[in-house]
Amino acid sequence: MSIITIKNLTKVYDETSVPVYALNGIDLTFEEGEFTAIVGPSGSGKTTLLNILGGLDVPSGGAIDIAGTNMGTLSSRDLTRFRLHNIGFVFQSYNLIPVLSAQENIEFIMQLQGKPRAQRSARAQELLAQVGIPDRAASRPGQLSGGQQQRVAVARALASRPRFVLADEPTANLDSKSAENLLDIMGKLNKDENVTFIFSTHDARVMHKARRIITLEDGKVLKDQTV
Amino acid sequence: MELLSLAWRNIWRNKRRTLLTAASIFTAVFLALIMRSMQLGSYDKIVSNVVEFYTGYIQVHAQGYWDDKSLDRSFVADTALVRKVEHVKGVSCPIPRLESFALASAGVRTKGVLVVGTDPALDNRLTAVASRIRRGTMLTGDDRGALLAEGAAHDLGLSVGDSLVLLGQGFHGMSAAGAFPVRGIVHFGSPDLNNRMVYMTLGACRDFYSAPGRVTSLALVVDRPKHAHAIAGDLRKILDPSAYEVMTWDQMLLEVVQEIQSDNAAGLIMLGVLYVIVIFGIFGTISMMTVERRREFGVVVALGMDKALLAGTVLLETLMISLVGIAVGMLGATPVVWYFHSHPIRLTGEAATMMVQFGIEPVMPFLFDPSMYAAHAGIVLAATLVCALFPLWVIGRLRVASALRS
Ligand SMILES: Nc1ncnc2c1ncn2[C@@H]1O[C@H](COP(=O)(O)OP(=O)(O)O)[C@@H](O)[C@H]1O
Ligand SMILES: [Mg+2]
Repeated sequence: MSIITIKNLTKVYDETSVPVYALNGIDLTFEEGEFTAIVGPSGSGKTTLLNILGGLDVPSGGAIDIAGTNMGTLSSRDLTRFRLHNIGFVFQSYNLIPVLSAQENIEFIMQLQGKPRAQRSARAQELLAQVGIPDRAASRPGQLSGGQQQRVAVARALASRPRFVLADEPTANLDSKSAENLLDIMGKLNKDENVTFIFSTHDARVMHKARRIITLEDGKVLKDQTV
Repeated sequence: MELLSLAWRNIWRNKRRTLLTAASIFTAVFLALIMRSMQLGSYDKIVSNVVEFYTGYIQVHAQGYWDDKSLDRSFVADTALVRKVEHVKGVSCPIPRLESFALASAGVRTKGVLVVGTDPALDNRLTAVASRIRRGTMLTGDDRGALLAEGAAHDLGLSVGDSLVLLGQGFHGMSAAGAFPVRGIVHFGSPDLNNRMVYMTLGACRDFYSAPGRVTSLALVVDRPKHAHAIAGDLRKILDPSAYEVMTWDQMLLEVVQEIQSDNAAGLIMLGVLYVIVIFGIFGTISMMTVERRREFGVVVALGMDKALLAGTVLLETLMISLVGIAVGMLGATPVVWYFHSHPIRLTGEAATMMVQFGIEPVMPFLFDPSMYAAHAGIVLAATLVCALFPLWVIGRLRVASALRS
């Protein structure tokens, strides 16, 4: 069953003097349990596509349906709530809340969802174990390496039990060993827990861990291969 | 990790900046409280030095007396009138007084004085004159002697037992002359009163001024000075306005009140400048914090935090900073204010001489008034809330995708 369907998606940035056509008619569907890389040169539209998939930005044209919800019909407030319950995010620059410990960063999402304290704490610890840093629960982001911070970010993205996780260049700030490590953790979560991952990258080694690779160029889908 | 704790941790992210902001709020609140306590305390003192030592909070006169203080504008305070006044709610005791000016002399020295004839026992309830007798004794009921203010006694070179000679003009142009043994020397807070008050019994005064049965005022002892205006209003309703005028302390001390108002306005302007500086400081901190955290705001909204909740957290942070400053400012100012409230500063030297020349007792008691604390806390909190509109506005307009790209 497809969880995301997009039809004829376009995005024009027209606040600038010369309008930029970032996405030019994209049709795609994503299935539950996918492990998909979106690749393409810088400026090809990867971030724009992921932002729209995640409800962080609105398209200029076309339709996007996530798990039966037409995203175009949601108010900004409903969209925020929709993200909280349905979508996990991993960012290129980790973006953990600096004043919260690893465990608190993960619990933050569940707190927004109104989950009880005991349940939050148990789930956060379980996730920290799954990403391989059960001993860093009490560390603040500043005390963690980039690779460790990104693992916390993956754990945070999973905290709400989202339908899928979007990761925009999650390894761009990591050394190759940490990058490979992170992808292995994501791959394992995908296999063992059936977590759906859609991530963008321009790192060849990372992209080959994916089972489906979508190549963008100038805001169009150039290739869509399943490995 | 509740939102309160998140907000608390956030304000300490930039310790120095938060401390500086809190310290500037502390300084403003501290200075404001001390400045205002001193200012309002001295106004209270100036007013009470006259009101509680002499005029009382309300007086009834014959119509027109206050503007033209002549014995010809005296009136007969019969029992019926006194009863009528006494029955007004809040009035506990009308004190009949006859007062006028006279020239006092002793040997070769002369001095203009204010002669107040009154019932010593009743008057004592209003002015506590007995407690302020420095030497000698209080007047008895039908005493023919006089109490003399300290400064006047000094100028005339008189002391207890000496004879005070008074010359003046009595009722209907009669000449008034008499000699009165000085029974006691009385201290007044107001330098002006201390220089020219002479107290005697109503009987002695009426004889001196040839005004039998007459009074120039009924000075009223009231239960609660705060209700003076309401009581005066009630009195005006029952007294014939063509015959009597009812005046409250602020009408009688019009000049003093106006001077206080202009001095107060100057104080408020200074305070305003102080607050403007501090508010700019608060705004600077809040706006820097906001700009620095735009991306972070984008992140938490992306993750699913409702903007209203985010705005609430940021509001909480700004309130926390100012509450810390306010609390420390109040804690710091209280012992100082309290100390000078119970141990008023007594000025000496030139400053004191100057104050006396302006008719002000050179004592600076501080006012200790909880409502002033509330007012200053309120000002800073309100200012903080206004400053907090900036982050709220930024959050309201925040576009997640562009905040994340920044
Ligand atoms: N806010 C914006 N305003 C104008 N142009 C933008 C904006 N964001 C992205 N673009 C442009 O849109 C195109 C696609 O950008 P992006 O989605 O970031 O690509 P990628 O992530 O593949 O590098 C680029 O040409 C970029 O310059
Ligand atoms: Mg990008």
